[in-house]
Amino acid sequence: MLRINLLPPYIHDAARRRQIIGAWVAGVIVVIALFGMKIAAISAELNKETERKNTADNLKTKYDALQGNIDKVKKDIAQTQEKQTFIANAKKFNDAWPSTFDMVRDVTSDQILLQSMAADPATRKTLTLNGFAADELRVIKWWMFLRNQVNKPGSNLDTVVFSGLPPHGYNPQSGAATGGGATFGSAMGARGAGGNSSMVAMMAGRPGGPAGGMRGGMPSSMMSGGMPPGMMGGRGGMQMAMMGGGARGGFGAAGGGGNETEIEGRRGLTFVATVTLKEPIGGDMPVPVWPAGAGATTGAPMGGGMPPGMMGSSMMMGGGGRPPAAGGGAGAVGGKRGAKGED
Amino acid sequence: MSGALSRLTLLHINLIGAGTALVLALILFFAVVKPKAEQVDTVKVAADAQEKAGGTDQGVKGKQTELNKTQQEAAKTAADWEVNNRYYMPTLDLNGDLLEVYQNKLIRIPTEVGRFVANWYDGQRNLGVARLPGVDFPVEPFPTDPNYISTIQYLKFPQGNPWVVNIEAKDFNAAMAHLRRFNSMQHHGMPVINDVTLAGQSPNLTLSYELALYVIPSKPMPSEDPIIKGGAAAAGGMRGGMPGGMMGGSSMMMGGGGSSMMGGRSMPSAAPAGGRAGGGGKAGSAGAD
Repeated sequence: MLRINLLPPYIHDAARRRQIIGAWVAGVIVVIALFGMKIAAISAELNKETERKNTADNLKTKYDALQGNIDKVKKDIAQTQEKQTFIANAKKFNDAWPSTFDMVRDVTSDQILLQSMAADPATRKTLTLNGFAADELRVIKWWMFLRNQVNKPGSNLDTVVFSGLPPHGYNPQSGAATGGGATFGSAMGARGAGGNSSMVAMMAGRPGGPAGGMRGGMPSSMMSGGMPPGMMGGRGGMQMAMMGGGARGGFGAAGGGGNETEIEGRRGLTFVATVTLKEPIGGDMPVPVWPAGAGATTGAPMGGGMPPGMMGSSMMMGGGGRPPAAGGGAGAVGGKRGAKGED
Repeated sequence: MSGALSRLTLLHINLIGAGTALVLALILFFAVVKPKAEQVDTVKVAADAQEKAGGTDQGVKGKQTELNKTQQEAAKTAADWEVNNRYYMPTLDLNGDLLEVYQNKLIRIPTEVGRFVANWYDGQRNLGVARLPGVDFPVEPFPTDPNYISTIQYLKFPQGNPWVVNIEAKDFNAAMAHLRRFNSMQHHGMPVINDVTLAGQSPNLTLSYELALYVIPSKPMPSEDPIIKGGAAAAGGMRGGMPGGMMGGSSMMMGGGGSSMMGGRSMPSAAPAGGRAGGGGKAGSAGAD
């Protein structure tokens, strides 16, 4: 059945208007409510973060206080620590010298007589050794040995350079070889049963007996004092390996006819070995002084006595043996030298 | 009112309603929500920063552990230093009347030190080493102003460049043992050797090196006496660096272990200082060098 509303529209407009107004009012209330909820959530988060910050602030205050205490303890002990460091460094530095000398002794051939050893005072990385040997062959062999020591694990040797070797030339006019080396080694003959062993004794520091008995092979006779042993004898039975290696040894240039000389009546030649170390003596630290950083003193040292740095192939300190005789001309050295154990 | 409402059309009502809702939303958002959100971010950042800087339980515990460890290390360092101090350093007791201390202790120190070192070497003759003739250990005199005692912070013997020592050793082992013996030289400062060279042949090996002694006082020096201030100027005395008083009491140079060559060279008892005379004067100057 069709319903017909004959009432004019304005009759229902008011009601409808009130409904719409009511709807919008409700909508506004909803908006307010939604925003209220949002604000409440944000406020809760704010409270939470504020509490977290307060806790962090308190803990940071404690942290800073502890750090302050740590700093104070470190500051109070700093000077004591410096003193302790100075003592430790000084002890290490003092011990480094004999350790280095022992190391050189341990790698010194028993065919070589070392006359002096000194370190470069500025860097403490370079050792200068003045040595004596019966012939050039022994020098070369020792050089090879030192070169091979460079790459061994734990070795502090870095480079080994020899100088003072005799040159070897050829003069077609005279038809003879020039230089001091040719007649040197060849003059070494086999030692007879009763051969003079003093040369070997000087080299090896022992009366021709078997080596050993001491750490590093230090010849026992060095302590006897009765014979003219060398300053260092080195290890007995040391292998003079002729193999090449990766070391950086090189032949030093000798001038003239080599440095021929005579020790204890035995002729030979002197040479200089310059050894650089991977680590300086005493390590990389400067010479320990107190207060730290005061710096090493320079200038003429105080005290009586002879100046240090006794270097030079002709230096023969002490009166234990005869000073070396002046070397003759090149090629003039000869004669049999009984050298027991020579190779 | 109803008349006014009756004149509003639906469009008006919708517009008014929507506008009201929008305005309210905007006001609430910009006036309340946004500032609060920003505040939350600010607090959050601050809290994170504090936590990152150590403001956490873990951070505090770690720092506490570090403090404990540092305190233990400090105690160990102090204990280790005490051992080294007693072993190497002399007892520097220079407290008292400056004039009296100067006259009876300070001025004797150069002689005591020089003789001690010489005796230390001479005591090693039976160990295969001997100093060569002419090798001595001179020590420069102290400034003649007693107030210099108050400036002493450390002592070095000799004051300037180190002593150059040349000794003869019967063999290599004796020479090396001699060098190793320095770390056991007691009660006269820490010795430091340098620039060692070895030459010659056994039994006349020659060992050369530089030697210096460093003394670090464990007690503070007395204050200066203004009444006697302005005494004779020191010759080359470096503040705090001058070889200053090394001892007090008879225990000072008495040998501890080591080479034990220091005999009982006790300091003479202090004579009464003579009034305000500077350096000596009428004070009992027993044993003045």
